[in-house]
Amino acid sequence: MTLLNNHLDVTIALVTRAQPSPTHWNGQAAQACRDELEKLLHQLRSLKFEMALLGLIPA
Amino acid sequence: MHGLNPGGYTPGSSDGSTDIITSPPVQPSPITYSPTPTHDSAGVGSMGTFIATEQELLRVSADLLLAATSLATELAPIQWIQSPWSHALFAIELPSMLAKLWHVQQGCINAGVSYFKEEWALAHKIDVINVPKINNDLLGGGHNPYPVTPILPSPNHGSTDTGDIVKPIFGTPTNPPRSHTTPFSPTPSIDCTPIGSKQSLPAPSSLDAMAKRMQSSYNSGLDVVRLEEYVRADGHKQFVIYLPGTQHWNPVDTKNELDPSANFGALTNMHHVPTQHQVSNILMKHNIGSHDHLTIVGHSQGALVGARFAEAKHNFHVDGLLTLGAPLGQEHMPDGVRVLSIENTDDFVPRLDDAANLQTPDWLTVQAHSQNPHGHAWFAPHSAAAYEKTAKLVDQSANRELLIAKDQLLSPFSEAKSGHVTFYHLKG
Repeated sequence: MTLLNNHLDVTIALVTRAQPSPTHWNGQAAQACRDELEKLLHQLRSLKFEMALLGLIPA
Repeated sequence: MHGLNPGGYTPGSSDGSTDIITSPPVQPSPITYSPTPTHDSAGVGSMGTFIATEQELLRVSADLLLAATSLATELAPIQWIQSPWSHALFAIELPSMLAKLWHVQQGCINAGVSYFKEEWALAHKIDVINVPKINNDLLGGGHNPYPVTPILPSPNHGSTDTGDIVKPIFGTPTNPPRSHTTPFSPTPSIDCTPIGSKQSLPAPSSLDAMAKRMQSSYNSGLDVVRLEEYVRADGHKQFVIYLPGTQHWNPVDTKNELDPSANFGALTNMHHVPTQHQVSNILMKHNIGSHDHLTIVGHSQGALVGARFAEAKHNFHVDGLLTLGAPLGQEHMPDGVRVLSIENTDDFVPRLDDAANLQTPDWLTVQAHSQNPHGHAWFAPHSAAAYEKTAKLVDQSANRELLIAKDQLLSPFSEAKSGHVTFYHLKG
């Protein structure tokens, strides 16, 4: 459980880090990429919350 | 920008515009790259707008790959054994998350292709480009527009004429020469009318004599080109054409072929200035063939036109060029053309191109302070009269390299019989 919790945290950190820098990539494509990654982050955080709610991983 | 159409995943945003990454993918599927251009604001290159760096796109792609790897490794069997329920829940969510990551990553790659494909293609072409072959194809072989310029041996001009106010310039300039080898044909619309001639003219025996004849072209107040014809000792004809410089300084384009607008054309290499065609027309009127020899004497713009004429492809055999006060730093003379350039150090015109003349074994540039004949007028050092006096100084110099250059330029006339001169009036 701890491992999965850490794994989700690492993945969330990696996806957050993968977001395009506004100073190095802008335009519609970059914004679309940010939006998609934001949705993915939300999905990951929701999963983590659900798992914690179910007691599958520590909160 | 080019759109991305990965199978069932249809690009499109809420505002109706297409883009690379817009809505969540359903399933990962093979990418179909659609070359249909759209009007995304990411107009790299087309509108000069900064959009992205290649490194940033690569970084995002690499981070996404790391995230996908991180998620995928969680489903290892050992993890299932330790916490089956949590991993079952995780496994339900995982495909959509991996698909999303995969699509975003593919979007980054396609964005990179869209932004940088021209640069990548260019880089590939530069890798495979064969410069000698292109030169050969374009120029018909035999002529290299960018030869390696040998550095002249260490000059010892000071040892022979210490205190000489005439200074040959040595060294190799840093500017790459432009090539003007585009062939051109005479244009019949440009009229060159003979307005007089004179028989029994002695051949020029000094630079001063040439400069004097050059200066006489200005005396009539018309745009006069002077063509002298002699018979050499070997029986071939030797011609000398004198090309005067800018005759009017009206900044507005006039009918005059020697006005500043033509100067601009010659300096910026936008086109062959009309006087090159006039030179060609005049020479053709005298039935000058490839076996005859031609020396060009030019002042200011006339020298620039003469240099361009010597560089251009035609059937005339130019073997000598004397330039007086001309910006020739961007010019490159073909092999076999002996060039002597005289520049007054207080004349701004030779510095207009912001580059030193190319120095080759066949091209010597000489600088001296003008012996200003008209006081301190700012333009006086550029006048033909000022260069006539400087040419006299050059004649008096005992510099070894200068003597060689002068001898090479004047030797065709040493045994020439007296000739005749024809004057042409240039009309646009």
